Amino acid sequence: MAKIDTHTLPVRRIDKTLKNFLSGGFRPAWSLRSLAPQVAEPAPAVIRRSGRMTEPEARLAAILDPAHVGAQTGRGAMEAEAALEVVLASAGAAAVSPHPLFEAEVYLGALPDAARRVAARMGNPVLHFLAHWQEHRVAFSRYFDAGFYLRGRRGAPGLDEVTPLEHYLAQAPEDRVDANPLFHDLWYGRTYGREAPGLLADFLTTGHRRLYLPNPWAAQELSARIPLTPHDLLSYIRVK
Amino acid sequence: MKGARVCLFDAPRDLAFTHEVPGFDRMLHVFNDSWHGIRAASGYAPGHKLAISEKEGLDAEAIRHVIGLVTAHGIDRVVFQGYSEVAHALAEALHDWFGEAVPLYAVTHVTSTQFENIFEIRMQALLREALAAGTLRRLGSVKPDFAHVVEEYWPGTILNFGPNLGETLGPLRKAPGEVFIPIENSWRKNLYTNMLAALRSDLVTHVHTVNFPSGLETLVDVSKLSLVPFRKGVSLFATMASVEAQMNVALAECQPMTQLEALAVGTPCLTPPLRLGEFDDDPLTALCEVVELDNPRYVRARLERVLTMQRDDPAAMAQMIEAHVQRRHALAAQRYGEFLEF
Repeated sequence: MAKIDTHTLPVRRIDKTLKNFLSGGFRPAWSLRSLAPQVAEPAPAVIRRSGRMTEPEARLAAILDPAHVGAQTGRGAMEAEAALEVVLASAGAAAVSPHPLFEAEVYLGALPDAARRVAARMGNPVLHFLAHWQEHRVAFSRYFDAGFYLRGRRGAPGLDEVTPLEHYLAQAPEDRVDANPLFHDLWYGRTYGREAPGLLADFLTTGHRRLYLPNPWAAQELSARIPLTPHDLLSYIRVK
Repeated sequence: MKGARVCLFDAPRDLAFTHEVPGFDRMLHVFNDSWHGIRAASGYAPGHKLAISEKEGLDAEAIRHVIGLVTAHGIDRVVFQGYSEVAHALAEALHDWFGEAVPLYAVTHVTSTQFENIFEIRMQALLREALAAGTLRRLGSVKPDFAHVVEEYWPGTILNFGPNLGETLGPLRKAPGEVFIPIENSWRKNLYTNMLAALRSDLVTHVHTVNFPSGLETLVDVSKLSLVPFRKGVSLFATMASVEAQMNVALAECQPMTQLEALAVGTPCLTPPLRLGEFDDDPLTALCEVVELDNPRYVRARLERVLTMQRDDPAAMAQMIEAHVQRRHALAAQRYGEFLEF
């Protein structure tokens, strides 16, 4: 009889990573409950010139990636407040996205017609996303699998109050749960020395172009792709 | 690479001869990478494939990846082909994650005659435990009436698919007098009786074998014997296709893959009684099943009957085999569908 190495049987000797992954435990770096319904405390990185920020603006600020906004608009490095203004000023399917993991075209395409009309009146579709995602629970990215993420976080506090994207970006680095079935967040960070949060976004903006792999078995599963291209890597993790 | 345990998803060798059956494209077969017969059976069946290693195990990263694969490919049923401690750990993790959304099943490929190996009994106990806990939904077997061995088993018999060769091999001329005995040298596989039957037959000029029957040369003339290397895939099928008959008269079997592989290339294969009631009325069953398993004279007589028919009416033989294969694959799909509750 073959000897069974119990060190490699995770359910018998469950390690922290898998236990956290399966149990949906969540200890946020900062509490999402600090977002008051009427007047929000300003997000750490952005202070509007008016001195006050509405709740939607505060939530938008929390997911804002100024570098991503700058890349879309050709402005390069941007200050956070300037990036926020740009996002708020754009609208429609071609609106400037605040973060690589939010794609307006995907979101609007997934909404029912009535909801899409409401979103059109709100300006940038991300505002409708932040306010109404819980009602519709539709796709908002080709790469962020909300169902997968929520299953990994089941039972965690705050899931019914914010969008999965906000929840994901607020994860403590040591307690990250993956947002894409074929992208292993922790492994990617360790392997390529990339910093959290949101390493899936890092892969989408930078990693795939450097042919960084999304998981330890990707090379094997993509072995028929010779030569392997960045496009192959994106197709591989695209949510079907 | 750390975390890279054996976790081979849809490896080319496991898809090369897979059948395509509508509705089966979202099932996943999980099997041990080194259990070749079960791996072949899994490979030929429709659906996705995942090879794991009982020897190397699975770590957290690998289990996480399997969960991701099931999600990414929309898998809606998982079938564990054969079972092990590692398979059990994976089954528990999958059940914990997916619950009833992705039901798990197990199919075993063992007979009670193999229970002298304590591992097989332990695995049956583990399967019953998994069924009772709700981790597995159903247990199935390729051995007829296995519910009489472990009563929790689904009463039907799972039928193995043979390889789907399509147009891979055109018709090959069979070398007159050549026989292939591709069985291991173990008591259960009955290599020596098969050898003696073939070597003593005047209708046989050449016996190809992958295992030399050590010591037999002191009793009989083994000059007809030639040792061939272990082959797989198209190379193996070509060897099987080139001989007039194949022999697998073992003392105990379930549904030998060597038989199905030979039939796929139009070569009749002698076997022990397989007791597949579905084929009781099939002329190929009457022709190729040998009852007297430990009697080389009797086995030789059955071999010579097959060789004679092969020479007298090769078209009739080919037609008989083709009809059997078509019927088997249709039944295999139907039976899997019933077992998996499609």
